[in-house]
Amino acid sequence: MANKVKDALDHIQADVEQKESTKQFLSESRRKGRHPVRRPAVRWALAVVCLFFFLSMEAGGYFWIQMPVSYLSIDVNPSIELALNRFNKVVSVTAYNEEGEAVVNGLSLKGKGYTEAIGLVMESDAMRVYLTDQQDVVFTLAADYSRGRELEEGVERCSGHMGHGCRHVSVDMAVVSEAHAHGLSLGKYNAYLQLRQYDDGVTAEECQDMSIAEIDQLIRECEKNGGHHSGTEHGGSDEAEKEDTSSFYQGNHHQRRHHGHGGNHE
Amino acid sequence: MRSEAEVNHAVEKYADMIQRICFVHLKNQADTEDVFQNVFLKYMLHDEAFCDEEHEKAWLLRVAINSCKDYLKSFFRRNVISLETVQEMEAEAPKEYREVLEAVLSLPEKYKDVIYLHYYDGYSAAEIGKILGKRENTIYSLLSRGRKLLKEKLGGDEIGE
Repeated sequence: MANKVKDALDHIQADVEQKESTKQFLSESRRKGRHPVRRPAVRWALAVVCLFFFLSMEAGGYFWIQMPVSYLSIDVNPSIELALNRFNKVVSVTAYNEEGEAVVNGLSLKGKGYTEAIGLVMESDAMRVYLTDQQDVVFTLAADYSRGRELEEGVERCSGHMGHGCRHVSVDMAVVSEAHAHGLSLGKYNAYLQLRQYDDGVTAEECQDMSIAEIDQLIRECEKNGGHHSGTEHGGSDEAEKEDTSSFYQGNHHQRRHHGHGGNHE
Repeated sequence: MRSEAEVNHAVEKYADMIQRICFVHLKNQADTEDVFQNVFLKYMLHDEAFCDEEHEKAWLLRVAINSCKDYLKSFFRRNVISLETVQEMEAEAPKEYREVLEAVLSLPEKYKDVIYLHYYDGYSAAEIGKILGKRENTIYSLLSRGRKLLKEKLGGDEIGE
């Protein structure tokens, strides 16, 4: 029997107009260099480039998020410093003395917002024993201008509710590297710089072992006794002063102190 | 890229074959033209030499079948095709063949290629297997079921073995 399928399909043919329009289309594609069909090698190369691009973005994004852009130290006797990323989240925690180690051990601070981290530190059992009327609590903040104000307000809120002679201080970002070079937290280094204005014999190592309250006590005694300012009296010490960014910062920082549970500022 | 003369020669030689493949799958002229041109564009850009004429024909068949399937899968095609256009090319066929064409076009997609390649181009199951990238036994069973469906639609001995 005749194959009717073949006969029926035989009548399906491309007409002359279709063939000509196809030839014209191909000719134009050749002229314009329009090659929608990519060769496998090109496709692979594109895939590799895309993959590399996304991996770079991911790695770059990770470092961008993890990079510390501001620092907050909490000094009582325990001396702790939190490095914050651009979203004000904790990216690293450093304890600068044994007491600080005892406080941060067992606390999970990384990834927390800075106010939450402050709360966790201050409410920890290890820290509570230091929060007496005899001790000062100093929050020291180093941040660039764009986020400094916001961080300052957050720290102010936290310290304002805590009492215990809390105060907060803002310092220039340049002080961060100096403090770390001396093995001190921002807050303690700042206190050391203030004390050194009266007593050029004091060293960073000595301050390492003192609590903030002890350093403050020394400063107050020096002020009361009309202590000398070595930077103005001794030319030799001027060199050290010039090398420190702190001499610049001392005129720029501001300090607020809270008494009891109120929000009184000095 | 192949020369213009080579491409034009291929268009003349294989246009009807590609048109039939497109017709079996796509059923309307506008879609057929798109895929038809795309198949020859791929041919123009395919630099590798063919062993012989049969190799070239089998390559074009495979590209045409895959292009039709890709087109059918595309979101655009699935969403814009209208019922009016489906039968438009079929209606242009002579009256005596319309019933057969209708039966072929109404086959499920998986039978269309084997029926076309076997009944129109005369390929064996082994050859169809190579073109479609399927096992010979699979082709046998597809052919058998496709033939059965056609017989049911057309009745009796209309279809040869």
